[in-house]
Amino acid sequence: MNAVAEGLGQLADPFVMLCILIGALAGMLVGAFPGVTATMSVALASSFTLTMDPIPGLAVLLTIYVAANFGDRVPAILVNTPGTPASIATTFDGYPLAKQGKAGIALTSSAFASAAGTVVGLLVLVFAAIPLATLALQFGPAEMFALVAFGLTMMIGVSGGNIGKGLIAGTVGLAFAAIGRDPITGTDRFTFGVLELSDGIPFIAAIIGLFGIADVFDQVLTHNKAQHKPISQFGRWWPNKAESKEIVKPITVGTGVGMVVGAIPAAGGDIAGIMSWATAKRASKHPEKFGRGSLEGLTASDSASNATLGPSVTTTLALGIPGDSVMAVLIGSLVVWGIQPGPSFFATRPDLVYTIAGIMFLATILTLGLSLLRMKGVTKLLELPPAYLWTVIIVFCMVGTFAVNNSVVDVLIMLVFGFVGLFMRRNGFPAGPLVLGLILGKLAESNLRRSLEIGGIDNILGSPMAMTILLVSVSAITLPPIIRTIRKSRQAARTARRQLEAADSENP
Amino acid sequence: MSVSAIEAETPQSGGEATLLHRLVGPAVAVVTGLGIVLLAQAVDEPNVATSFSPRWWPVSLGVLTILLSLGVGIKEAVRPSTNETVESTARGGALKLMLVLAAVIAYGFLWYYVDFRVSTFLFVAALVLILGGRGWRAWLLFPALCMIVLYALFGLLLKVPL
Repeated sequence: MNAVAEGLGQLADPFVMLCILIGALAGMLVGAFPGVTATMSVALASSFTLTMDPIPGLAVLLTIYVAANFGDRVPAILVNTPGTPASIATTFDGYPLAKQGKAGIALTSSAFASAAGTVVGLLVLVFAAIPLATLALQFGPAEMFALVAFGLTMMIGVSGGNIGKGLIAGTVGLAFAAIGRDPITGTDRFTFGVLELSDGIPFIAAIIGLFGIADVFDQVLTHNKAQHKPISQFGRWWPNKAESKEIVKPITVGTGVGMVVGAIPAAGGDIAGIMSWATAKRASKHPEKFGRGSLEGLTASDSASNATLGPSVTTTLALGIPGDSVMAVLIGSLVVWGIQPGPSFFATRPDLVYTIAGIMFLATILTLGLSLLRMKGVTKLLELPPAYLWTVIIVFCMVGTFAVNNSVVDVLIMLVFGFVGLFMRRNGFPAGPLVLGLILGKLAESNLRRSLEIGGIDNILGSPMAMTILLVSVSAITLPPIIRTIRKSRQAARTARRQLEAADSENP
Repeated sequence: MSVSAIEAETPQSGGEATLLHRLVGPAVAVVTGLGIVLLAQAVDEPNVATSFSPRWWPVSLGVLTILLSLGVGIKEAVRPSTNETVESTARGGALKLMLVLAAVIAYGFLWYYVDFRVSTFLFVAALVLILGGRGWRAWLLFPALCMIVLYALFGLLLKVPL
């Protein structure tokens, strides 16, 4: 009870409440702009918040995280463009609803679904974080290495696309993490005499480059003038009794899927949203409406993508493995504040669980209120020419990155990673595994070398926990292509059978 | 319906990549892996004997990168991925990007010699011009607003030495 009281008591500070308000406004705004991701905005905000105390700083960052996952539904519904990747599935039914003159109901239902998902997801943080951390305290070097491998392979396996390229990106990320001092002997590696690289690649600069600058560069390269005009007819705003009853089941389905997906390291709102949409469609009495303007489809995906937030924070803080790319940035900020996420985090600061849960709960309520305000002004913002948005992002990225360490080297690194990120996008390499490799590289190397030094390979093979985690990691990479191949061959067999039956019926 | 089936139904712009384009990525990755292995040879060995020197981890990663890249390259040549589409470059997109980069480099130099407020105003105006903004609002008002916000936030509030 002491930890609960202490944790929640930290929220009584008016400055913390002010930070939550600022974070909510900023997060809603950035979420509403396609092309500005939650990761980018949290990375940029972290350059401001590093000068603050940890609790107000966390209040800003976590609230942006929550609010961006509310704001991103707006362009998804009004312009058929997800504000962040987490709202991809929102476009499946949100935009069709808007075209039917139901944009108001879509926005309102989506807001409530998002709030419900976030709040339920926070229960995972409140009840599971400390037991999970306690379990992880039992982990030795072999188990920690296995956990890192699990985090990396999960990101590669669940994100779809080319698994081989995902593995390459992850491996290169691990190699980038080797820049700086060797974690065991302290020898300088790949620093080329540059003092700023002795502590490794500045993480915030790399993230801003990979997710901010690369995004903008890609848009500059591929942007065509023709684009959707935002829907401006909103119709009715509040769902009636039948509509309200209709969305209870998909929200329940969505929060369940989101909580499970969110707990998996590196699986984020985009995966949860799509999986939940598909699950809700299977469970619905009207699956034919999905993809054509179904409130069930909309609310299932939105509740799922927001339900990942709490479990994602849990995995990050309890295990030190980022739950998604935003959490990867948060880890960077926490380390600068002298707070090391991982199994010992909650042992030393159990009150922080409740502070963080409290911040996210308040952020959810505040953002829900802001979401329910009339959205007509937002359509004007969505009509803003991209030249202004791109300019703001580029100049803020440059100055913000400089501000972190007052270092021009950081800005150069940001630009280099911007081009690395652009190259990766244009050639089908996912950026997520590279970032994860960069964050987890030193942890992976130090734990692997320690466990091998202690007892050789038997130290890993002889640990049931490590072997179980490693087997799950291998499955995460090998199973998806096997399942895809089996499905393809079944589909081909079914098609061939149908063609045969059709030919037989024509020629009895 | 599976996730991949849903994603396959989601309309995507752009077209299928040519063989050359598909091999560029793996080729660059092979070169990267080679670079890692070669650069690792320059890492000093410690005085204390250990089973795994500071070179061991980067060399392993470099070799793994090369092997994975060769595998991906061979697969792309023999059986290209069907779920990857490349969004085509817009007309003038590459030129715009080069001009943006030139503006960024120019800003970096200018910042050293000229006051932050002046260099930032000019940089923002140049960016908006390159990226398609037109009119006095785009070239004067918007850069002035950006400069004021940046200076107030970083220079005055956060006391960053600009």
